[in-house]
Amino acid sequence: MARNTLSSRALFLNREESWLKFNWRVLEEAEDSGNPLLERVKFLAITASNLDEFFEIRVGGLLQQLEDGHNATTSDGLTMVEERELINRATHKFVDEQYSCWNEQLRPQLAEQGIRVLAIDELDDESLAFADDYCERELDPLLTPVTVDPAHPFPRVINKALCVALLLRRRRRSSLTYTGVVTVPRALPRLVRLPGHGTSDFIFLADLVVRHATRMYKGYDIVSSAAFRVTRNSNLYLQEEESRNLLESVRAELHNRRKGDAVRMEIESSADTEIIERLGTVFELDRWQIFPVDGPVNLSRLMNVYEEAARPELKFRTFVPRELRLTAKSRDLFEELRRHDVLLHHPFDSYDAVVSFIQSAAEDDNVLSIKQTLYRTSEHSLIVPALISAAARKEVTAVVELKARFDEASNIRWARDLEDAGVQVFHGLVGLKTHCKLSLLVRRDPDGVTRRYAHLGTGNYNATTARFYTDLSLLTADPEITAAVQDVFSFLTAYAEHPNYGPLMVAPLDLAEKCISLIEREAQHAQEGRPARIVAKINSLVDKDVIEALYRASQAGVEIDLLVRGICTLRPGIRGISHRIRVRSIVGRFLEHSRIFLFENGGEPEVFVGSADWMSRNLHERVEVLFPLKDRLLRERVIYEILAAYLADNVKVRFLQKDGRYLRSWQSPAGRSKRPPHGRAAFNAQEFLIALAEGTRSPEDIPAPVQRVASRVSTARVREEEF
Amino acid sequence: MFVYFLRHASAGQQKLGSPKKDEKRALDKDGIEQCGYIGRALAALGVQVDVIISSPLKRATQTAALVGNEMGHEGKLVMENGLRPEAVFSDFQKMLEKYARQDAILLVGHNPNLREFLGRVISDTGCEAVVELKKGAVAKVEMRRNAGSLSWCITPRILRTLYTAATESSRPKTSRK
Repeated sequence: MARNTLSSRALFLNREESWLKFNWRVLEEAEDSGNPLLERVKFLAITASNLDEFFEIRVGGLLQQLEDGHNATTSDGLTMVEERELINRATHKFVDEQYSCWNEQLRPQLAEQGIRVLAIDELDDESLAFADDYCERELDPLLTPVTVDPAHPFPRVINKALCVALLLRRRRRSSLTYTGVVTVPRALPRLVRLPGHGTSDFIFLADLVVRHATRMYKGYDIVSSAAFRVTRNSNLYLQEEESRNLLESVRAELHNRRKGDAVRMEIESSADTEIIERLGTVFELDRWQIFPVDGPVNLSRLMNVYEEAARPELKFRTFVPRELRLTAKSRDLFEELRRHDVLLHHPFDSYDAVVSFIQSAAEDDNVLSIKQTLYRTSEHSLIVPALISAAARKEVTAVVELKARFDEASNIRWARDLEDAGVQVFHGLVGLKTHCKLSLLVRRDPDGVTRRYAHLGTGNYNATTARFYTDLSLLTADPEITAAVQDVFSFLTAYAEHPNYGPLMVAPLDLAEKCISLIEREAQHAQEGRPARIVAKINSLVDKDVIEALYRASQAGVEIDLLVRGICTLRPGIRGISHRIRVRSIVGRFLEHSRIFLFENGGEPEVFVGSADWMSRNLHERVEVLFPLKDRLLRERVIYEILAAYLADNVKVRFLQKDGRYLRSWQSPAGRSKRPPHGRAAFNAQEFLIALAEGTRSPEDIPAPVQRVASRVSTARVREEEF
Repeated sequence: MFVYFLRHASAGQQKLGSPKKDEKRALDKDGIEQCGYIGRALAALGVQVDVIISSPLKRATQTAALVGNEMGHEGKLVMENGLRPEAVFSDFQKMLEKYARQDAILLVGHNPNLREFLGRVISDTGCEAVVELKKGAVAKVEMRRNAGSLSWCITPRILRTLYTAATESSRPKTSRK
């Protein structure tokens, strides 16, 4: 088949549609009665904050481009205008379903469990008195009723800030109506706890503001009132090459982000059409960008219900992550690493080992220098204080990524604190986000030899996300790998490029071409009759070149299993193109974040792990690192424990079909469904991995992988679903 | 550190004989307008502060919230007694020490003591420089080791005048109305 037909638009799915389908999978978890109730609420809150980001970045960027006069065509053949229409239809449908889930399923079920999110007319006298007192004490000092007129223009509406709009009429002068606006400071809690007897009662702050507005607007009748929320374009438009001081530029640009064009407005559906019209004009929104909702306008705040309700029986059972245990002969972690590499699978293996790797380096007088990349750090990161305390006694270098989207404010503060402490702070390379996650120590060991120790990971140095993201960490003293890590740091800090960074693959230098040649090597093995298989676990698959290489490999006979959590624009199962490719997405308790690549390589399997997904931004616009697992035991753990478990999942897995639909393991393409697997037949990979860490299950318990597309060639035993 | 001294905006007449009630006196329409001008001006000047600190009285907290909103400030409003109408300079100094590590702060208070604090902060002789602080006016001070230096001070009226002049049409009025 000629090469260029593989780039035909019929062979690619639409990226935005694919992302929206990912968010549907999360919404499915909110609607899944098999999940604990409060976890379902959390999933719903996550779909809302996911959608916020989608509008802020993707839709904001698209509309900006349309406004600038572009109307390019995407890989799947849609023009931008058509894409906008697609987004219009899909998002409205999605939002309807979100609120349906809240109103018809979660809210009533929570009430049954004694957790009540009440409307103002559902409050009893005691709660009403409490609410009024709360308004007087906490709200009244901070709220100012603004009436819009020529002397009083519309106040600033900050991105995603809660506001209340009112239609007012002067008492005894009922001809004219005025617009009233109250902006609610973000620092006030969005959900207020009410006194409950035997129940946990909450009310949304918006409802209290609406009630209090009557008292604030003296001399007016309130004809109608509604809470609303505006989402703005939040793309950072930085002219990086020109900025003298990157830190100041990001700071200033962060400030400007809040002023971006409005992209969406959510408003209570009970709002008067007059209010909606006026707001639509003020924010220059088209009709489709206005979302009337039957419930709270800030659904993401339901996360507060999850956090404040002290009901562990309605949440996932907590588990104790496995602590790293050194073998008897090793006195400390460094000695252990001199013997062999250590692989950690978070959150099943505790992240504490990584934190103490860096903390002990900070305290150890034998450690001479520490180098660290920081992409997203939580405010309470334990790593940064360790670096700060180490700076007094040793050479500490930090490469801080200031532009980790939405985390910028946190990273800027830490950058300044680090600098003040004497840490050498670098901001990475102009135009390239530092996305790789690396740590490097130089230590004078007891035997007198000075060695390097490194941590390489797929996840950020953030102890919070480490608890609900799955990620892999490698701790190693391997001289080849640690020397290469050193070279990557010199690339990041002084722009000294090396011809290659082997055994590491580094983007934007050689990672893309190396990945493609690994895929092509596998194709070669298949053509020459040797075992050939690829298993890749990533967050997203969008890069055209990689997808075309995978199509060619499938045509050559390579069996390919892709575990893609989020966006996937590859179309599997097309006869003659991708019928040997299966795509799965696992969405469950943990966010699948790790990136793992297995190449069968004719019987000598190679496993790579790292920070890069197969998207253009990872391959060409960021500094990423993929590293090989040189230790055979660690490779086998990844192949026979980790990947095997994910491939055998039949509970949380969704299979991507060639038409873009995602189906559960018990659903058929024709639309018929069997019962979901239960009891012994059900295999939930994430739960299995927890049990493995707790010692109640073992790798032998992993069943064979589930296949949806019955494939001709398969060396592994398969369970075929009959339809 | 930069310190912005902001006097609360117009809030009607003082309620004599009931100090507690007077604490709850809210901004009037002029006050809301003043906050709008000042807030938008600070935003246009690109002013960013780490924290906004206000006297606990309602007219000050409302000023702080409105102006903060226009500036795009999203942090929690901090209330300090060191900015109350009856606070003295030593209360104020003690309060200021808490925020010494910040890059920039905005203080919202009342006359006559806010004017006094400003005057003493910008004078290094121990005396009090005489500064006028109208309602809703804001002064920017750069704190140095011995004393602060006053960078600028603007009032809502100045802003309104400038704005009107800038937006005035240059076409002659032909109508005799």
